[in-house]
Amino acid sequence: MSNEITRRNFLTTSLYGGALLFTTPAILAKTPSRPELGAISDDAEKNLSLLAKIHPDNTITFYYPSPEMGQGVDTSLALLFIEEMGGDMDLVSVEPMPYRIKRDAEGKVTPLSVPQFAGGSTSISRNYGLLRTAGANARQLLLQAAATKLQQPIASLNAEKSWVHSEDGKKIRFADLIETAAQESLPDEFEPVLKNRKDWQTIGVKRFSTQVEKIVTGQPLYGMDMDYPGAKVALMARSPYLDGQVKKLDASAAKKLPGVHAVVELPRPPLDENYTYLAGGVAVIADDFWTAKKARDSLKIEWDKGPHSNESSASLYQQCADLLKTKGQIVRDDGDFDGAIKSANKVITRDYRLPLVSHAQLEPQNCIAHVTEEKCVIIGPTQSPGGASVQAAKVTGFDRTEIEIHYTRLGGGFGRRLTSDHVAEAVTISKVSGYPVKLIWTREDDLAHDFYRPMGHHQVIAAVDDKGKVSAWSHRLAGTPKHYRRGRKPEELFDADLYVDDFPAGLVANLRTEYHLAKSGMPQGSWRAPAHTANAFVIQSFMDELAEEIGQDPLQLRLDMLGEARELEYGQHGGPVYDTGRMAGVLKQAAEMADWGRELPAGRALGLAGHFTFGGYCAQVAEVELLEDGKFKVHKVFAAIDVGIVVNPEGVIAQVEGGINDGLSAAAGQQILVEGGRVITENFDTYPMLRIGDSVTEIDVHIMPSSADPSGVGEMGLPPLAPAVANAIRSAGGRRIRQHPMNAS
Amino acid sequence: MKFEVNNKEVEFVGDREMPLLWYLRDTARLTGTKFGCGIGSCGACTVHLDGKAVRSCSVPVGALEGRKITTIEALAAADGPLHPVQQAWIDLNVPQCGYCQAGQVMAVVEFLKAFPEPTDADIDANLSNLCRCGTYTRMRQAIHHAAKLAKQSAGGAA
Repeated sequence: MSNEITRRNFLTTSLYGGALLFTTPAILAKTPSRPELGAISDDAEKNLSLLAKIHPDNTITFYYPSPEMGQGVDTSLALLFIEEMGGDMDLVSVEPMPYRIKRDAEGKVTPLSVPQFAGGSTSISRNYGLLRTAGANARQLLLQAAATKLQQPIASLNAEKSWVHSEDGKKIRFADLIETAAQESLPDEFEPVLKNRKDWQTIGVKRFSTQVEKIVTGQPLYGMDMDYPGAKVALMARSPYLDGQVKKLDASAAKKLPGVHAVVELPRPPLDENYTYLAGGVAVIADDFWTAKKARDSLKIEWDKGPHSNESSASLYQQCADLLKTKGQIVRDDGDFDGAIKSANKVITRDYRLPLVSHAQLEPQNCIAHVTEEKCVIIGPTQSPGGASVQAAKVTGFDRTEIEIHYTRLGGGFGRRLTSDHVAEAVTISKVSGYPVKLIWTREDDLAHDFYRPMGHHQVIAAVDDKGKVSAWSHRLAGTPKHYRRGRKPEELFDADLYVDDFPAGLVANLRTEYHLAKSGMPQGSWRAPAHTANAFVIQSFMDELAEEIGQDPLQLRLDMLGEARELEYGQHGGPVYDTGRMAGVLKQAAEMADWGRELPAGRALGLAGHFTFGGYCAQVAEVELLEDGKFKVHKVFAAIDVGIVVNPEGVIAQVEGGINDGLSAAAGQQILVEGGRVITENFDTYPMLRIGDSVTEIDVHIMPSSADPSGVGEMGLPPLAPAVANAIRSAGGRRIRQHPMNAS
Repeated sequence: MKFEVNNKEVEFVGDREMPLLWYLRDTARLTGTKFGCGIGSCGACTVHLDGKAVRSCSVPVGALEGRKITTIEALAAADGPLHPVQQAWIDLNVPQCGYCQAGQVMAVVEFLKAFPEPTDADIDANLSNLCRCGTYTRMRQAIHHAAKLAKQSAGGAA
């Protein structure tokens, strides 16, 4: 539970348009004139955050504080609040919480009340205490109002399913408490008491997404669907060359097209500063998308190829291979690795390679921006409205708190919209052109200008002693760094690509982790489960290679290395501990579900992998069949997941199912190719993403019962999939796959 | 030129090369049909053209004279029940981000006309819309469920 938020500055009430508002912070809490606040001025509303409204028809609107991108937080965060409030989830609809930040006494930008951000699978853990406390306060206000209306002592009242009941059988709807509750405030002596878990009726109960009907009937929910008065469509021709720029521009044909309003040049962003937008180029502003597209296609641009024109996928892999021949930055060094290697009975070394991949969220980047002398308005898909305000402030000179940001539902995030380059670009175009603009990226723009998942060459070395035990372990990585233009020193960059406390750290006495920084002009960023996707593939594939070398069962080898259940220190995101017992628990559970060790027809086998991602433990067993030409089919995946207390089991299962197919899609076919200093992968025809025909036919997810604090679940289901499939392919008699895309021969 | 969008005749004057997708989104303001790739690969823009599922990013408006287009907004009558495929998507809680799902639903509606009792192999061979969230496993269950719902509602009508 958060310590900063006390009950009285977090949640107060007021009346607005006939509805009861629960708002944060306490701007209206102690106002004597509150009963007259029939209408809050728009200005006043800017200084509070709406959390929930109870309407006269007894329905509730819940304003979800974390952007929704498919991870289900619009629903799961509502469950936390509604449980404690005693509301009825069947009466709840959801809207994004208006984005609010302020400057504190020291001038630092902080959330007005609730952090509004979606990344790192943190929305549930961050809000678990906060929203339940808010709900408990809301319940208290409603009970106080009911005590007045029903003439009953508050101790005899109980809120359930959006009604307040008294012990002697009287009851009243929340809606009939609106006016009375608006005049209540929380007494000084009141301390919110959260419900005991055994009394939960809403948290932990399967709940479908609140938005499904709107989605399947095509309602406008996404940034791409939004409109703004007077907005023109902007498309941009960006330098295809990494850090290239316009050398010569002929826009005469574009300017002649009816419906084209302006053609503006955006300079190449400075190369030695943190990023704003990604590439310089030329923006065309027109009445609609098609006109803008034709105008863009008609531009004649000669490009300066910039400083990376020799970069290619081949040159990146060569650079990494060369780097691994040298000694890199030692970022963890336990025991005596070199000594253990010298005295080893057997030393096993394997190399793995992973390519750059693109987010390819299905809704291409887009953003509405309107910049005038007085204001900067932004409407669009973002995982980080705070980051968007940082970029917009840099471009416009407005203070971050003055920028108006409306985040929409996201047609996929996966980390792409943690960065705010699209926002900076739209804001810049509006500022330079003077038009309100709706910037739209095409798919080609999206694949060619991403913050890609880093590529890397991994080498794992293990020593086995004369008793068959693993006595030394080394993970060496040469790769491009995730932290692209974020102002960090080169020697700090490793920590976004190697999480030094990952398995088997702390379990092998002599352990070394080594990083080599590859130079590249490619923008890099967070891609669902960031470094865990690569590292889980590498480590969990290697575990099976090790098991094969020493003739041990892959499950048993993992359990032996994990040893007895205990907590190890874990300093990275998802810590502070790594619980070997919880890891062993999901491995055993998934193995049991799959009937590990059973006989399968020739050409079919099971493969196992488990990984700890950002506080969650997930293990998967994949049942895979070898097909002709090196192809394979994943028939079934058995998954066990331990993410602590589960807020919405339906959401957990959906995220694991999605993570499994997404993990297969990325590992099987995807890679971004670079040639001559530019991305040459253009669209989905050359960037093969999984379709239903190659998807996992059946997925069985088991949620481990737990009383641990909830960890979130958006990313945990993905990392184990690729190694589980690679291990199954090998067990079925196929080749050992040590690279992605796995479909490449 | 004239054509029909969601049972209403519309007249079009303008660039006949413009893809139907952008007519729907920018001119008709029907934004349920989504832009995903622009090359007919992902299927997010799937609509029905004379009852056949097409990827509207790859159909120029010039080819529409006298033809009938149905988008996700009019798949079910405004005052009637949802289409069985929409209902199945709700019953199985298929969508995650949801951006592809209108296109998925439109593709499956037509697929079930050809394969009223589809096997998994039929699904694998005939559906190819992209879902980055990976809802395919749930989608497969929903397709089988929708086939049953469609059969029931057809039985009820007869």
